[in-house]
Amino acid sequence: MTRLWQSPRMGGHRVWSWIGIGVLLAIFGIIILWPLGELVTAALAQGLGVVRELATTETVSALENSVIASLLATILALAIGLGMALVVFGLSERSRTWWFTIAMLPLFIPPFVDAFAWLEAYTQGGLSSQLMHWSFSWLYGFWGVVILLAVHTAPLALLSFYAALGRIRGHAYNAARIFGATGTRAFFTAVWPHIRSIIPSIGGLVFIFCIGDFGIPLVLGLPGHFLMVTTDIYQDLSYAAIPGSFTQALSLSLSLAIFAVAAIVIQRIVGTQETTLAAVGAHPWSSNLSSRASKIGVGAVVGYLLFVLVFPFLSLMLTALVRAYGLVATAPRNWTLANFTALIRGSVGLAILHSVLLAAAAATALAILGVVLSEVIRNYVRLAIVQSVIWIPYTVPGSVIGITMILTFNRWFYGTFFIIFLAYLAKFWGLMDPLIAFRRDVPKSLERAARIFGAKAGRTYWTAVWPWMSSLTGSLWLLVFINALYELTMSSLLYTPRTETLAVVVLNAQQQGNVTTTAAVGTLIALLMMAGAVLINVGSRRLRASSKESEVVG
Amino acid sequence: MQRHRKSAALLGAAGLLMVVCGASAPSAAKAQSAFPKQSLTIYAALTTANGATLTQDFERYDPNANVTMVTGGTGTILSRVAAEQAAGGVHANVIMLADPTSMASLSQEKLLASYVPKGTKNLAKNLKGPGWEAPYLFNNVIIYHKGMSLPIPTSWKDLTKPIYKNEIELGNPSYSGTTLGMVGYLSQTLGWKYFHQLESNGAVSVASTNTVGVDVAAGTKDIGISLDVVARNFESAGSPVGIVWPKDGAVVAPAPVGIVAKNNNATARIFLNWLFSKAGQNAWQRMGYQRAIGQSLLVPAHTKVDNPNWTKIMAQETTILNNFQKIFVQ
Repeated sequence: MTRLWQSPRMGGHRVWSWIGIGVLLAIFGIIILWPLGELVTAALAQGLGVVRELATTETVSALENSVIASLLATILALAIGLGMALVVFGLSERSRTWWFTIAMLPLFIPPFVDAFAWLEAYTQGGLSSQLMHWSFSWLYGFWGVVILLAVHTAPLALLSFYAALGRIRGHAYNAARIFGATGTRAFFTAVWPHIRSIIPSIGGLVFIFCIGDFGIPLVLGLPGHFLMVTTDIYQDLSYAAIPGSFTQALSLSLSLAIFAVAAIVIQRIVGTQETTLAAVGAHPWSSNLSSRASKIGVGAVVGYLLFVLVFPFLSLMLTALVRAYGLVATAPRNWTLANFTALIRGSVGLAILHSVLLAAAAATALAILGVVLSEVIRNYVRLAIVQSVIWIPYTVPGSVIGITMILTFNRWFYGTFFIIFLAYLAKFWGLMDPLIAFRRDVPKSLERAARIFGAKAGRTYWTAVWPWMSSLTGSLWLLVFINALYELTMSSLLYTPRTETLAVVVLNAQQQGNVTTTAAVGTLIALLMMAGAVLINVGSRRLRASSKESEVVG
Repeated sequence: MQRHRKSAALLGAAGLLMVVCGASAPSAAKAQSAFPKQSLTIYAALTTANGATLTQDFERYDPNANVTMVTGGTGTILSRVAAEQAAGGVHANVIMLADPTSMASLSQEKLLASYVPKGTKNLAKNLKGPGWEAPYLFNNVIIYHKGMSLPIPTSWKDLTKPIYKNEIELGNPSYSGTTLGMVGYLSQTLGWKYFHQLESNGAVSVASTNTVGVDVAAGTKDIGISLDVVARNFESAGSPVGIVWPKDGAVVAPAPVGIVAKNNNATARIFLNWLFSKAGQNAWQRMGYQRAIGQSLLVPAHTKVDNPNWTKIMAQETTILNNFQKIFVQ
């Protein structure tokens, strides 16, 4: 009989491990399995309707649209992310961090706001047509959705490729150069195989982000009759006969979950064990771009960011400043701060505070759970199956997660912050996956050395493991925080006036066609997030500098 | 120092948890200070601001009422109702939607009480149905960008003229219930050939009537088929949007309200009665909605308005949606 664990540990530790596993499985069961079970039960209660619904042209078409658009967006995002990673990685160490932060900024703008900003920038009547008399007619529909999904997820690919480039050792590349290979040839011989091997795992992550997104297909897809599964569910629930639409929404959610699991399984089969978000390694490869190549590369990154970020954000700000939507936004006589002061006077400030606190609480809880879970199950290979299951809620649309939370927890937590908090935990639990996977790659030699020198368990973890895990735990915290802050539909289904969140304000303003409020909220939140990103960058630089200093002193 | 930091972190974490998990609990002082109030939970497809206004007005009318107003789009409200029903019961006492397309199925599910509010006996028969009555109305009208160089159209038929080629936008009945009413009614009176002509004239269907309003205000399109309230909101804010009341008749979409059968209490009935009273009807008018009872100041005198038969439209829903899809989407 195969044992559940690979490397049995000392008796006392094993007992604690099993207690830990039991507690974590209980949390997992309550937050993930129970609501998913409620979803399946509710779907089964609809009888054969669910199966019939899966075979309808509308369902198949929405699934096709989701898969094709997400695949194309993933390919584009990977190309953009890799290109930017290579350019930024080729810069001097000093300017690298700043360029990396700048290239990451599109991730800090909510996808919904991003799509809205593009409309303000590039449609007929938008800023580009006012200033330069040109516009994009394709923004509403397939291409608009694909391009915006790619723009929004490219920083994720950049983050992963950049971290991966930092882990590649330089010996092989240097050897190739010494033996006369050109820079390009040496790159394709010594570096490209490493990059190629991690493309499936990064691609899988980006694909899952794309297929589960709601904001971009809502703003750009729906008006162009391009329905993805997330917006099809939203449309089904929008009106018409309730029993039929509910069945359709449930069956579409199940089909999306099945697709996501299939994608993860394929990714795990073709992917490598290399993790995607860590940035550790010794003697890293350095691309040493020539000055000319650096200039061209930086020029391309600047041009790209001006187009995808700066111009749309400027348009968004002008829309937020204009006293009435439709007036010439570039004329200062039409400007007012009333849209911003109205936000402060109203309940928006409180809603932002609620969202920030909820997102921070969810991020902190998942970071702690991730660290504990990665530690507890690292030796239990079979439990890695759990990792495939935890991604499911991430791919199920927020509206359906909201519904499962109502089905499961409403009787106890109706109208409380806690039910929204539980929804965030369930939806973003999957983001722990890289952390759990990475723990298995942390070299065991350091742990053994610490133990040989008499360090206790806590001290061993702190000195031999945590330095490897800290940056990835930080990334996990940030990803959950951003995702929770930007979700649109879950809290809209779960809130009451006392627990209003940013999502409720934004979605209501959008649904009511209140453009200037949407723009003002979008501008405010994007500015806050970008300022946060810059502060994190400054903070981490200071922290690194002070830790280097203390190393020297020590 | 480190211990202090740890204590501060723990206190911070505890504070965070208290704020996150405990903020919605009613304070003891509040619970003790007041007489017990009748709580009334309303799920309403209204703007947040209008929901707050309605709450204030009603609480002033009935000081014994403690209103919890949950606002959102019709879709969000219906999703909530469906999920709560499946979870054992809807929390709301009253449901208010922006169009009557879902009321029939809510009634069939026996979710709505059969209470008839005072003052609604003389309400037009198309403005009520089983378990619901409409206290205010929307009108499907033509809207236009005030800076456009084209002549202002005066009727639905004008929109098929070549002069408006590629300048017209309308909603999608698969997404918008009020648009379903307009498409259903005009396809009965003008025939499906009217929509074929619109499509041939380059008319584009988008999503909601609000999307149409936004695009017309921005000048993306010069002409739109949308709701009077959408155009009125833009117009009152100073946006360059104007309303045309088509001379061949604006198409009415009633906004229904009903009491949840399981939560049918006295305060819910007082609220419904108030909605149809003079004070309630004035409240709708102040918020920019057309009152269902009495002369509305928001609709010009002698305007032709048509009240579609919603029961008939809902019976033909699938045909209407399929025909529309064939013309504008496929």
